Amino acid sequence: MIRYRLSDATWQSHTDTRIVAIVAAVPFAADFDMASLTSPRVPLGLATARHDRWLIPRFHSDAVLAACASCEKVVDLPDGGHGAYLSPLPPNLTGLLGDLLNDPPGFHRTGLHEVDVEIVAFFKKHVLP
Amino acid sequence: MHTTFARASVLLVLVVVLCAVTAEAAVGLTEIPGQDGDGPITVYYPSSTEAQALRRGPFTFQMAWQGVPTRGNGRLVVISHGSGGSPWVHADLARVLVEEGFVVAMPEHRGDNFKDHSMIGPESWKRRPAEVSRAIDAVGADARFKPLLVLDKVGMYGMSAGGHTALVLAPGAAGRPRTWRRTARLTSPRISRGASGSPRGSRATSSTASRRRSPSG
Repeated sequence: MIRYRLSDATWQSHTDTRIVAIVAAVPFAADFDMASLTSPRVPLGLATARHDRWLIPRFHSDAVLAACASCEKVVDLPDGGHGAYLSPLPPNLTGLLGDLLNDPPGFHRTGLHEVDVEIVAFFKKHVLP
Repeated sequence: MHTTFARASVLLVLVVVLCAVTAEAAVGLTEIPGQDGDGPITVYYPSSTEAQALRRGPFTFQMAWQGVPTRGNGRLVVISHGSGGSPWVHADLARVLVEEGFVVAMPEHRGDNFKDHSMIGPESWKRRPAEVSRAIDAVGADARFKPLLVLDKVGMYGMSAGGHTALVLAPGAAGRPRTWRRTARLTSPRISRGASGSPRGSRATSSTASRRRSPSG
């Protein structure tokens, strides 16, 4: 691991001090140096979905949450898939895209407004006034 | 006579105040050009213009296209879409943000959006954070939004590949190649946007990149 860190010229990071609160929903996170996320500069929230078959939480969002004690679990959808964070969801998705993005059986979109309200509450808390 | 006039004036003021309080701002919608060759930035914002039915991709929204912006809470939130994403798949979140007074900016990430898949994966991931910063610059430079915003406290939301962008801005250090090659285990879906009716706003998997481009490190 240390060898990669020293040898990898593509290691990237970017800071914009105007940004004071961040929410990452079902992020692709497996390529991060988790040590860099142990204490983020700003409040960092995660929104996750237990039935995400695309970016499996264990490798991505949960790995961030495990590394980052200060991170806030803004939303955790027990029945949602990756596409739960697409609202509105594009209709008529088929094939592999459909398999990965369409809602799993038993998941109801009626609760997604409340998810948006939770995410907005995070920004109200950390960005306002 | 004088008293009647005074009462009428008070009543008029009350009516005006009441109207101002009860009039719900519509969700305004516009697009501003990106800077430095970036794609356009879709902006959702509180507007005094009446909403209309707008057809966007497969969706219909009640919003005010090019509506007159009104002062909200003075704060901006940037939303970074996922791979192959459109501005419309986060419209519901944008609406709730606007209803709370936020202006919402959605940069179209170059080479990784519903019109163009040519840079999906690490090539886009490296560009995206600076695109977010330039989107903040562009909204701040727009004559309509400049007077309504203070940009020293901006919120950032990202989903999927946009979540990667969000974490880079945390700031996390990304780009560890071997791990993502191992864990991005899903195969790449082939996306057609032709007559099959494959919807706009659909996204390609991040693992597309792991198949197309072997990491150099």
